[in-house]
Amino acid sequence: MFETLAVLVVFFFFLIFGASFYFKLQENSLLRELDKTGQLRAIQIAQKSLHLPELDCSFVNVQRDNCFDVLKVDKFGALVNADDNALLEYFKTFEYSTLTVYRVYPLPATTVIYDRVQDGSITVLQIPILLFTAKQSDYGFGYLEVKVYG
Amino acid sequence: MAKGQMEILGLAIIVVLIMLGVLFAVMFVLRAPASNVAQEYKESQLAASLITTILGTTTPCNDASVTELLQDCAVLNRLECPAGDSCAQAHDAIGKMLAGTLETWKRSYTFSIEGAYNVEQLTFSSGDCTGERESSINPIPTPGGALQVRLDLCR
Repeated sequence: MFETLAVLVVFFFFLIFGASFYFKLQENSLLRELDKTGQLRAIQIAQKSLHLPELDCSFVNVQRDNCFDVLKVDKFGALVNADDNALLEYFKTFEYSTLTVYRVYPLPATTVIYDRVQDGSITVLQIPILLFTAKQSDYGFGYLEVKVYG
Repeated sequence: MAKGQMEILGLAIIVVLIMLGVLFAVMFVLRAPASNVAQEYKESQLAASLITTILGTTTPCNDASVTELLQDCAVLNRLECPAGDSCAQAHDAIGKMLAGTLETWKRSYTFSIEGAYNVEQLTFSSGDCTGERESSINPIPTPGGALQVRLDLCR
């Protein structure tokens, strides 16, 4: 009888030990998957911002790749930062992120065009872009920094 | 051997097998590398998009683009620019752009141009570039043959 009891005790010990180990491994696996999803979301947001008609350089409906219109950038940033409805509308596109346009050449300048911060992990992407100034019809050089939170 | 002793021995063997299985499972899971999708995306896009963007930038030298400056530097060298000639202006522009991006982000790189003696003097580098690299090459046509603009991003 005691042997049977001993076997049962050992059996249940292993059952609990194995189950807790399994759930711990699953948790690690899920955290990695969550991290990967966060990074994919960051790439998605960066791609959306690069192809947004409100920011892009387009000539006769032909969009130039990796190019932002400086006038559009200034107006878009002013609109989103001043109008809560606009911020809410673009939240559907950009979620919790910060989009900043840095001009490097010829003269440095910085414009934050969207800013909605959240606590948590941050994924940062920098994408080189041309900055078209319609008045002078020339292209500056800079990059778009996308910080995605969560 | 008594029956009870046989049972305990069997149990002990099962315990050892289970522990070995758990050990292998833990080793396998802990060694799995963390996903770095964003980094892979950055690496694949950065070199190509950086070269394209640098070459398309307009400079203060008669509003010529960097591509046009390099074409003039390679063949005719006729343009007079605020920084000197087209080669000096291109060197100034490319240097500032790389300093404001790759060097600010603390990335190791080498930038070089092949195809004509003048433009081959325009080289830039930063950091140690002996390991793996992500490279991009962009050709620029000139009357004397195509120039190859190359950017290597080092890991």
